[in-house]
Amino acid sequence: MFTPMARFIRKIGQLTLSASLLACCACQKSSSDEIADSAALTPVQLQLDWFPEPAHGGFYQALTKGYYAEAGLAVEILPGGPGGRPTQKVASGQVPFSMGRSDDMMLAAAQGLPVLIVAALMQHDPQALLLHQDHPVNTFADLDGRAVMAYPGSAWIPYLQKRFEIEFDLMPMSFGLARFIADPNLIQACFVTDEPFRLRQQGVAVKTLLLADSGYDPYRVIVAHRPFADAHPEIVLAFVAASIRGWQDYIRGNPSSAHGRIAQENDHMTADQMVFSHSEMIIQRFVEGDPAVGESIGALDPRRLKSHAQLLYELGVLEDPLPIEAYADLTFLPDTH
Amino acid sequence: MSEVTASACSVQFDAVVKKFGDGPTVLQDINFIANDGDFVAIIGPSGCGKSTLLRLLAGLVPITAGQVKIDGAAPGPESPELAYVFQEPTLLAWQRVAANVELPLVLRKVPANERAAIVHRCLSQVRLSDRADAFPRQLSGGQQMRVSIARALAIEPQLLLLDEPFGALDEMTRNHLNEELLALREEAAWTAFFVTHSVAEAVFLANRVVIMSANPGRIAHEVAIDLPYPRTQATREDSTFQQLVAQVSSLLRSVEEETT
Amino acid sequence: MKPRWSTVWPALIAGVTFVALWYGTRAMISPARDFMLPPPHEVLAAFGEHSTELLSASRNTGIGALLGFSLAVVVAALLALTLSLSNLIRAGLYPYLMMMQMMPVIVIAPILVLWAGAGLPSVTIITFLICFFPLVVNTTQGLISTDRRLVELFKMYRATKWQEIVRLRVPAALPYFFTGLRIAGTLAPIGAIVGDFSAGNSAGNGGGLGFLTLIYGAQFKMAALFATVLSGCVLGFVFVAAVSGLSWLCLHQWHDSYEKSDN
Repeated sequence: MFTPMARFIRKIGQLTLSASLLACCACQKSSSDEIADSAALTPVQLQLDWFPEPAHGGFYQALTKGYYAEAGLAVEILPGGPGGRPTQKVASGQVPFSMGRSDDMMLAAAQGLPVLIVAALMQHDPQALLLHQDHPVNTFADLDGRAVMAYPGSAWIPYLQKRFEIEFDLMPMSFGLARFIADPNLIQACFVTDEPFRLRQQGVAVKTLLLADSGYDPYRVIVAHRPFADAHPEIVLAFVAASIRGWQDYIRGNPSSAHGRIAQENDHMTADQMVFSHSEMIIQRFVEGDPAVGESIGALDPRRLKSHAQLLYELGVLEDPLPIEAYADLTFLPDTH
Repeated sequence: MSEVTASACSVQFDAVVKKFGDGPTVLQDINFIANDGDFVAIIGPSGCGKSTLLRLLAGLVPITAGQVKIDGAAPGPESPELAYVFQEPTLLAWQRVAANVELPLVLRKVPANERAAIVHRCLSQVRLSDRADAFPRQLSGGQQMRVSIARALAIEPQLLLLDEPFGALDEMTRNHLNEELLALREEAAWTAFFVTHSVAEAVFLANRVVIMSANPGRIAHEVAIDLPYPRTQATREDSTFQQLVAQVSSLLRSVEEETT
Repeated sequence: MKPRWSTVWPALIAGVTFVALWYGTRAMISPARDFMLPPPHEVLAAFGEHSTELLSASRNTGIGALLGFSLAVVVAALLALTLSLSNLIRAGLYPYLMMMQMMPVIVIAPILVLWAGAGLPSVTIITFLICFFPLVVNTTQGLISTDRRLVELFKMYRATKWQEIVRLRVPAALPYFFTGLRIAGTLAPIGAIVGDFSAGNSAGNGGGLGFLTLIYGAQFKMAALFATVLSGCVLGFVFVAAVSGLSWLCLHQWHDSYEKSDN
């Protein structure tokens, strides 16, 4: 996928980036050691699905603590944003690694996009529905006849409609919370680790309905460009192991290293916000899951993946049954080695 | 000078001056009386104010000083009927020929049953009865001009103002239309002011030819055309006609030299 | 109006060339990336496979487009008439109308949805906004560009203001109006698609073509996405054809732009 020329250009780009970082970060010793010998390491890119935030904390922990470098990788974390389309980027080979929800990756793989789930990023998706505190809707079943602002095409929509035998209208997501604050009736999709905190800071009382509680429970996953994984399994292996190590350290240890870098990369991220997101991820065990049922950081349960693919097929979102080989390869996970 | 009927009108210019804003004087000290049934041709160099004279009469532009009287009174809603024929046919492109002729009658709220007969008569007068359902763009330039004249005649005007109506047409067509215009005059008398650049046309049509000079526009000469009506192709070959043409041409030349 | 073979052949050849280029381009893309450009036969198949959704979405978008377009025609005609009657009003409003024409509708669409609610009302308003300005500007221009001599003619025949408007200014402005109408006709389906891109579906009807592109995009159904885009093209073609037909009906007999194409 990577032509020598493209590789060369990337290298030049990295060197100039390193040089400028060195120049401007001369006073920041902590970041200089991770960059110093990057030229000797294998460069890989990770495409984020949003602006840098604590939901990406483990990757930044691995980067700033030098886990990637120890694994022989010079990882460049690329920020996302509205219209960032991380799945298209990893599918087209613009980047070797990206992230997303396991159900979306199944849909992409079913449509022939060369994407491959290689590890879990979170055991459970923090996506939820956001409502004003005094909104009459309290359960998923109450959504009947309402309008919800979300990404059209998300598979949880037909799931909720079928499971609870309800109908609701959809409005395409518009980014920002101004509309939510202005409209007390608006129901919109959110991350429980993010929007509720920002709204409460604005003095808006809100409640959430966690989608995972509806029974629709995909993973958040690390995704690789399939031809890249075929050609460089050792890089994927190293990336997955170092990322899991980063996440373990971020969740169980001191997150300040990652938070420092996130704050640098995202001007809008405040320390309070990061503390909230971080603790919310720990309390609700999004990343770690429940050890009692065999869940752990990075782990993927093939039975759970298969049953989710089956569910998508039954919902009609997948037109044909999709075998696990079509979308996931669990051999990159540490436990299987 | 042939028949003069009671339906024509007289026109009097009394020390008329016209200026546009602070610009130069366009018309200065115009004194002229046209009697009932006069056919007055106005000729003169460009910029002598010929067209402005007609526009003053039609009430399209205000007079700066002096006055104009039609049948002894200032122009107004009670004035005798007046029709204006422009250099271009100036037809409504989206209306058929018959509807174009009918237009002034519709604007005057003439009852529909009366309108049809008038339109029919006017179209046959200009020999266009068979093109009543055509659209203007389907007609030749000469035919369009005839529609324009038929429209002018529809309201049976007592004063007809023609501003170089045949200027854009070829000579053959122009001669034809000149004869037709005089034939129409046999049927219904009107007083006419006819602006032209052609000396031959002026002499052929008018019983009075007014020669104007420019900067400012003034009436320089007037020549009476004592040729009997009806006038025909034979008139053009008449020696008197040719002498009159020569006389008017020489006066026009003298005026033009004076101006330059 | 009858198509001539001499004009059909070049279009056919261009079409075939386009499809050939499409296949050719796809063949040159590496297999790992060819999902980005589904081949024409897959797009055709997607038409069949998703025909119910596409038809219903085209109908919804078509209704939104027609409502917004019609509303724009009525309001623009009335406003243009007002503007043509007074130099003062025209001088006062025209600069702002021009400014509003530059307004990026796609950016304010989410705000409009907040005001008007999801679904058809928002789609109609967004279509209205996008169609409105070319109609107002062209029609006003037409109403104030009446042949000066015809205006004088009406004045000499002592026509009332009303007669001048109805019998002269309005018909004389028709060619200008239709120029605006043809622009608005091409914009209307685009406006409706942009509209339901932001405004989503209204109760139970599944949304329009813009909404469908979001769904197919999220589900990575590229062939269906292309089919949706082509449905938008067809809808646009229907609009343009309808407006051109109407324009032909009203103008072909007398207006010079139709000379030699008829009679």
